[in-house]
Amino acid sequence: MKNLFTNNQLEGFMIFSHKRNWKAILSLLEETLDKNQFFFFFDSERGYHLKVFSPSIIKNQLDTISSYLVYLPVSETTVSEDPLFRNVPENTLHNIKYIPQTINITYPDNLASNEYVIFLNNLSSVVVDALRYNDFFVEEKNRINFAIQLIFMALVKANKEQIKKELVETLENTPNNIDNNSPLVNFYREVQQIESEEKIENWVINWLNVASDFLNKAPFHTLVESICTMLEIRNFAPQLLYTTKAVLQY
Amino acid sequence: MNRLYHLKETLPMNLADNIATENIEFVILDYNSTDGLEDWVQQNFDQFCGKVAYFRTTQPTFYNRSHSRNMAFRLASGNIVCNLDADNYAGKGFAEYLTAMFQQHNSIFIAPQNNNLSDTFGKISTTKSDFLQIRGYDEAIKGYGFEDNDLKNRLTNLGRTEATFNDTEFLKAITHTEEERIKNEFIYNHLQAIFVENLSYWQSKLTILYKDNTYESAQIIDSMYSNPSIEIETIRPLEFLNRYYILEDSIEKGLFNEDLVANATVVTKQETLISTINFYSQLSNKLRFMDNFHNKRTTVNDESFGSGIVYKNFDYTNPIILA
Repeated sequence: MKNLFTNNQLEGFMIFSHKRNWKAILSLLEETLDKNQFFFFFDSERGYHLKVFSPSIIKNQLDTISSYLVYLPVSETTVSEDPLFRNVPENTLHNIKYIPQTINITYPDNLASNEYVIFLNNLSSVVVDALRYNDFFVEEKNRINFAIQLIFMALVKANKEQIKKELVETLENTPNNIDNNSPLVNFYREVQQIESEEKIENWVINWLNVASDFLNKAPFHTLVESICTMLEIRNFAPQLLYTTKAVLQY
Repeated sequence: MNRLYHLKETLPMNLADNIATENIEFVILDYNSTDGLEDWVQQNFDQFCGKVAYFRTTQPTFYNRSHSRNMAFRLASGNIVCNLDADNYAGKGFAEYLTAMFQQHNSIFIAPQNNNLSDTFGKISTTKSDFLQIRGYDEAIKGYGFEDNDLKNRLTNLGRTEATFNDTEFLKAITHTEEERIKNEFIYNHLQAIFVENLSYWQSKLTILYKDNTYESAQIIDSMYSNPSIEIETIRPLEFLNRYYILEDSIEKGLFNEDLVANATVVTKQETLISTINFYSQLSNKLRFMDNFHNKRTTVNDESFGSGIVYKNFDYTNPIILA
């Protein structure tokens, strides 16, 4: 596995703002930085913020974003996320000079870094589009539900036998606690029928293609880990992999 | 110090796993423990097959990591020494592995790979002559953190090459709380309170008040956020060890008065107190570590190291004086 930020020329900044403003901020980012030209993570260290990355950022773009932020509402909370340091002021923009090792993303050796960055850009774009239909990011449980949705949809066009094989080989044996009629299995089956539905939202179609392309080059667990990192539920990635493995066995 | 409950688990296993190595010696340094260590060792001494040397010092009033290790290494009779904390398992065949490595390679020292997440980071092995030549662990590094990195740096400065192991068999340790790690150290036992004053979102002042009404304070910087400009730069990874640091010349010590913490809040949660002690201990040790590193020091402890009076195998009539 390679580290994304070790040998790359990515630039980045953080926008500290309450989660309820993120939808508006992400729309602004799409206009300012151009769609599919950036990717982002949700984060809550030192206060809620978005970490935004792009191969190239122009100072004018940051000025545009900064000038917009001052009009956003500020939350009432003053509780600091860190016992020793104060939260970063809300609705402010800061450059990212360093990235902590804990979120230094890794990707498979066979993938070129620009290929992986393109995938993250596309995934970000799908998430922003999906946000037009949901406010899923506010609560962690909603983000987990959304991640399950993305993961199950990623299987629609994928080679399920190959993914099953990968998961069986890489995950330790765990008891299958999902029975044949569980809501999760039913949900999975519904998602598998998604292509036959009459009306499909654009972000879903985009995601089916993005995921399908990515899975031709990279293992399934990288896709799951990328989704979870972006949605700040990285710790749940193993459980989501186990869930997928269990569901695929039916 | 006071880790009998760990030693009861690890020592029998370590002996069993390495009994085949002919000239192995486990040195137990009883650093004035009050948890019954001496009685337990004495009661079980016959079962140790002559492979254990027990030393006790009655002088320390708190645990000093560097000093205790220096004592133990000086007391070891072998020409290869390895630090094994009370909560560490040696692993099956570890002594054989060390012997073979030192036979096959000249001028090396051996340590776990840096990326290992278990509590075995200090399992460093070197020749005793090299250890004595660099004058042991730096006793200016007090409390938890950086003493191992410093030792490795100075062995490297001596011209030795680091060989690493990553075999999970050799990386086993008993997991324990952060509190257990520091509960016998000076700062924990003399602590009255910790105050935090936020100077900005990347800079805070920590004030540690001791029970004798003295204090120590320092300004801590988080380098992740310490550059508030929006100049565009290429992002680079930042290791945790490099992220936080004490602002140069910001350490103050003296007699405490309320004015010093007029704008600060007191840390009340026990969990935060423990993590803050650990955090501060590491940052202050890092200052010394960096000083040794930048000055390319090989030797430390100019006056003495691991000094004190010890007694071997329960014989209190013949004190051993480590000058």
